[in-house]
Amino acid sequence: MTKQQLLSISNYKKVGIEIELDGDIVKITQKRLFNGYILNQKQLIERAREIFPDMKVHPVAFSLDVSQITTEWIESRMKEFGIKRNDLIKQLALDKSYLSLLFADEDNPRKINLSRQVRSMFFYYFLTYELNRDFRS
Amino acid sequence: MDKLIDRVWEYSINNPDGFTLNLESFKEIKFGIAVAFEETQNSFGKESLQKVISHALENNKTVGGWLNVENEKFYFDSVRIFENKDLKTAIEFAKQQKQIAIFDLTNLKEITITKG
Repeated sequence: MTKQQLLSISNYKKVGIEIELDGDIVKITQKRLFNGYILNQKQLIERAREIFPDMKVHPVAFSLDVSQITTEWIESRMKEFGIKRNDLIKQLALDKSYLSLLFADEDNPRKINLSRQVRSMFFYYFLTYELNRDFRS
Repeated sequence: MDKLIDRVWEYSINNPDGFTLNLESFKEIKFGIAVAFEETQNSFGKESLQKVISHALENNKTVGGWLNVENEKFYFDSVRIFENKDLKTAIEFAKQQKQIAIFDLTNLKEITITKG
């Protein structure tokens, strides 16, 4: 590998994109969202081909790890962006009672656990706020 | 200055994948086009931070850093950030600084600089 190729790999690593060589295949993975921009497979292939023009490319698009999305995480993001429960009800079209049970104490028998879909919904909801804040600053 | 060096060094250790950091806000820069200055190229280790940070403070107040896994040393450089609309100016500046590539943070894309 040339010095420039190594430097390119480190440049991409800075922004959450990992490039690995496995025999004659280049694996390019978007591991984390650096600034909210999600690259599709075609875009990942283009980026890898710029560095390794003659190699086969295996792109791996961003995959959300929903296990990190907990009610504590949601509450901390609400605090960070100044979002109230009423805002969630209106902006995510949720029922007030549903939201109350989502945030209910663990010992509440009626407590609703976060499903994978709801975790994902919250992730992208707060990502919208994060992007808007970052763009404006 | 010593305090700032310690802060940047600590930030590097906590972010070994690399970063582009504004020294005034101490926030990571996530948008724009990053071009490194020739003067601080190939600076590595904590001892290089004095030169890199001094240069950054006199210029664009931005430092880039990353861990070279091959020799396990942190590399740093003083960086200038351009708005995406100023791509042509960024490329011209990169040529002046003898850079062979720049990085578009907004679009997560490296741009190779062709000679001439």
